[in-house]
Amino acid sequence: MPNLRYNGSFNIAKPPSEVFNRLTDLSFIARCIPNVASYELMGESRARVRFMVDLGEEVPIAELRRITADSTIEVVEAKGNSVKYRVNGRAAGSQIEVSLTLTIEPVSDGSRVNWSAETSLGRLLQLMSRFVNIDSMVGRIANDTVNGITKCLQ
Amino acid sequence: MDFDVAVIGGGINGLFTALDLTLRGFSVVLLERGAIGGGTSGRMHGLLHSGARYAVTDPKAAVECIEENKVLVNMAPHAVEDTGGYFVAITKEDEEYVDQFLRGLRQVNIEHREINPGEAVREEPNLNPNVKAVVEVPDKVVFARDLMFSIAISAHREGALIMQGAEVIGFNINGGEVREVSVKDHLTGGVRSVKARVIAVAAGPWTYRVVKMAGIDVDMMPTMGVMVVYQRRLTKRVINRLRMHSDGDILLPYGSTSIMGTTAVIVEDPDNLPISDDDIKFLTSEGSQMVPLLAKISVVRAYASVRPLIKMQGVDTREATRDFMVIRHEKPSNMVTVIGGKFTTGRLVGERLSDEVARMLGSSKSSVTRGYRLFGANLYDDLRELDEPLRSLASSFRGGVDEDRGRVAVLTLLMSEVARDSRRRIGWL
Repeated sequence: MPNLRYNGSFNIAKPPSEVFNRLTDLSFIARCIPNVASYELMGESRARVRFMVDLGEEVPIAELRRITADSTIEVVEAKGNSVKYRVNGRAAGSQIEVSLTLTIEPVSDGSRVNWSAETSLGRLLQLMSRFVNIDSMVGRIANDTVNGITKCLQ
Repeated sequence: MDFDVAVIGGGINGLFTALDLTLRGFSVVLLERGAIGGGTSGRMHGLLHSGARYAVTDPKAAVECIEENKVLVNMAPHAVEDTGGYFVAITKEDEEYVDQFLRGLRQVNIEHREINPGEAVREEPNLNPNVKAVVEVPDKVVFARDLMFSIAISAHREGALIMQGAEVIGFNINGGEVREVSVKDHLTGGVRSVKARVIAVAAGPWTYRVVKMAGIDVDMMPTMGVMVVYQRRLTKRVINRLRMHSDGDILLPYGSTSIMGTTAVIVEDPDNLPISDDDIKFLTSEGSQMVPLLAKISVVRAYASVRPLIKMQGVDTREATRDFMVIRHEKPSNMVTVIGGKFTTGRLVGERLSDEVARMLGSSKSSVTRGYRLFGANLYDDLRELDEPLRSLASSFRGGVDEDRGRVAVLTLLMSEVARDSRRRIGWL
């Protein structure tokens, strides 16, 4: 299965420098992830975050509709107007890797944040694609996560 | 020896199917590759669902659960402990779910009561003292093996043959029908042949292997649920996390122990379930939010069961695994399969599967299991019918220090007799 790619953008009524500072503050970002159960900072640029993931009603097994993900989130690059995260984790016994890039540009009433995410699912989660539309499922999760961050920033 | 029906699978669904069909007057043989209840059914978490867990997300399953909860208590009071259950809100997010949960309970008519958190902590002193909301529901604990052995013994007494160590390894299909089932006899190592007019498959996560042998195209993804057993019984009641159904949301009192469940992990092989330390740590961490003492007591063991996602012709995957589904195959035309289901609804699964089998056999007889009292419900009275010295040994537990623990020992002893007698009657000894 090829990597899954998603992108989008959102506007924030705050200046780019403030948005940039918030986006590079892991203690802030960790709290913004929807359904966070716990987080632990491991230095300035890494955090271990446990959060619940809503895989959604399309998953036929009730126990698999809402699962816990254990992940390490790392700010791998923060320069100019761009922040890159790498997320490594496990959910439902399978590996997940996400690369997320956010680019901030000034707009008349604040900032516009363009985001793009590339997700690689472990072999076991890929098995699920035989039963559900995994592309749309992961796309929805990516959007929910970005919406959570947007809400926090606002 | 020819039978009306061969039931494949000796878990809760297969056993109730065998009992149901036998009570309708059919000749039945049940084929189990290992021991009765040795698969998924013997590795459940012990909950006899009140249905509350599904009240919001799956009202149909919730209604089935509460109805079967009441039926099973009457059928097998010896295998059920009426503990009651609490749903407890721990976090602010949990608290936000309370109204939706209560609405769901009302809609499916599950008896419940909101409990003052202080009262709940007095009732359950090990509960998190910071619990924000508590709802009481009629959850119960079911002793899985006691129940399954009771069903097997009852089915056998009504005329069914219960074959353990009988693994289906192939089908002889002719004219679009299964003519013979090839069975590996694990006791002797030989291959046997069983003839039946209808083949009813109730093999849980192994169903895909069985039906594949009949040429049915099937796809399956097993998911593993891990349960952790702790040294002490910490609560009187079943404690559920009051939130949307997710992993790590139930703690049960089971005899003198506590069981925390469950995880949801995708695996490749239903016969290979690797439990990691992370699974145990995760469940302990989640459970200790409801009952903090859980983090301080010893883990006795962990075990896992499998719930499969199955895709084959005639199956709406989503509908089937939400609850259960009976599929009558086009080819072979005398095969019917059940997929999905919960331990709590095993009797209902047996009834529905038997309804389909009865139709295939041209019978209009209805199920009578709903009002049936299983062997063991009055164990020491039921023993009167046994021969000496079996009766003498089994009865010796009564009134002594081991009467309670002796029940499962007696049922195991009788199960062994059932298996031996079935082998003798089918001619496999």
